[in-house]
Amino acid sequence: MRLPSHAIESVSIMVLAMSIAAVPSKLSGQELDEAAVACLGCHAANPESPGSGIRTERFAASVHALLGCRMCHSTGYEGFPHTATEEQKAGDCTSCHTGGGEPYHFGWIVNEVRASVHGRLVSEEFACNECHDPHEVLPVHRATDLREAIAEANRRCLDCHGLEGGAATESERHSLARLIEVHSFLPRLRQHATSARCVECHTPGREQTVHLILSARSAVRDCVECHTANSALLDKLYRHKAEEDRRAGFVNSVILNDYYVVGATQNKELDNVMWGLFGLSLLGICVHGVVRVATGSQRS
Amino acid sequence: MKKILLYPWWLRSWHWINVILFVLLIWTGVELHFARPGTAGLGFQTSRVLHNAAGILLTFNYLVFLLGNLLTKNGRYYLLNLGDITEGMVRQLRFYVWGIFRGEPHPYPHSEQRKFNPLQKISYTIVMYMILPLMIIGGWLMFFPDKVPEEIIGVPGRLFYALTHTFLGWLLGLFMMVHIYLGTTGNTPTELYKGILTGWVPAHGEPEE
Repeated sequence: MRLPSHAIESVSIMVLAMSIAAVPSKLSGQELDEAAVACLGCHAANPESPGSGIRTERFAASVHALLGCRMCHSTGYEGFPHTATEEQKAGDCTSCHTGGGEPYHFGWIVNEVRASVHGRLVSEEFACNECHDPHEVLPVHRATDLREAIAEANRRCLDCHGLEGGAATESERHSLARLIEVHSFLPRLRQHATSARCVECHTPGREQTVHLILSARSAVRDCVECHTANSALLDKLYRHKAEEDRRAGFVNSVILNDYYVVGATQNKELDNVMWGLFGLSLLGICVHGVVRVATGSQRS
Repeated sequence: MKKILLYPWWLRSWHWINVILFVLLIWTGVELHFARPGTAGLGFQTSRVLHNAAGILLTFNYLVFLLGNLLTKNGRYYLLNLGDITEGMVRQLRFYVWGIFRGEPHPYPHSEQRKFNPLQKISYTIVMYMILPLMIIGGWLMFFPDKVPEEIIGVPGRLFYALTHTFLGWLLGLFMMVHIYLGTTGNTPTELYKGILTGWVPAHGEPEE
């Protein structure tokens, strides 16, 4: 994947920036513009056959819904039948995502992907749509259902890393069986896999580096990275929510809104009260013991 | 002085297995609850395995306790006499905060019929028949987190059990600390410890009124 060499029409960027600012977290299918609805007349997925086209509901909920279809599918789609060449069929994400400042400027993501195991071992041109369906883009923090968003994020990984077949041979190292085998050190694998994204452990450090996916050997294996008061989850999965919805008394309360994570969602107030009780009891015992010894020796 | 066998072998075994498991559970529980990267100790993974194993063993040990109390006369020592329990507790409490410093005899000395003073009766009943079962049930539920209801009385299910488990863990830790200290309040500081090791304690007879 290369940064586009051609200049982007400034009007496109303005429209894009304005659209992004106006995108609500969830839209209904009815709110799609007329042009898009016309396209979907032919291109909507058949519910009986997933993968046959655009899933209307998901497209309507995605952050790209308000852009319509022609923003990306421009040249070659003016009339019918379409005359688009293979190259023209879909726009390159970076043809829009190069301006407007973060987070809509994807230069840093491109660099992360190039440095990732995908960029190094699969292809330097590893494209966004290898993992992301541009028609269904909905960042985790904009999702109304976090569990669904996590499942969706992990499904992208499983599409390639969860293939059917045995785990024994090298050629089958992308099989689901092998995936489960190498994650067997994780207790409650299903719970982990449905409560966090693969990238929580498979990207480095505590920065927002979800595209810098490392080799399995470099993945986080220390439970305490997440299972602690200063949980890495706050810098990753909950990065965008960390300032919201705090519950009194809890550390990492934003996680608590969804889960209880041993070690990460302690209630400070409960702990402080109990430490206090422990201290007082210990003090009481010491005083009682000293007075017992003193009065005992007096009597004798 | 006449000695009585207050702690038969099964009860002593149960008690000391309980001691080992409590220490292990509190230790690993603290490590799991206050986990920090790079701190010394058993570590999160090891603590998790030990905590689970000790919890399972504690469940079996608790069943031994229940069975033992059903099948032997030990169970009756826990029976509360609701008529004079308040008076008994006040009397025992007065001994701990006053009489013990003046060398007064124990108001409820051991006998064939009485193993516990009223304060012991009430606290052991609460610990053994309320807190510990709740602790064990909560622990098992957290062992199968996918089986925990999504919501319990308006609180997310796992949070409810985790908080209860943590709170009861604190209480049992407190109980253990006080229990260890009160173990020194026999007629000599080691009398009760010898009792729970050998089973035999001296019968000091009824106190003088």
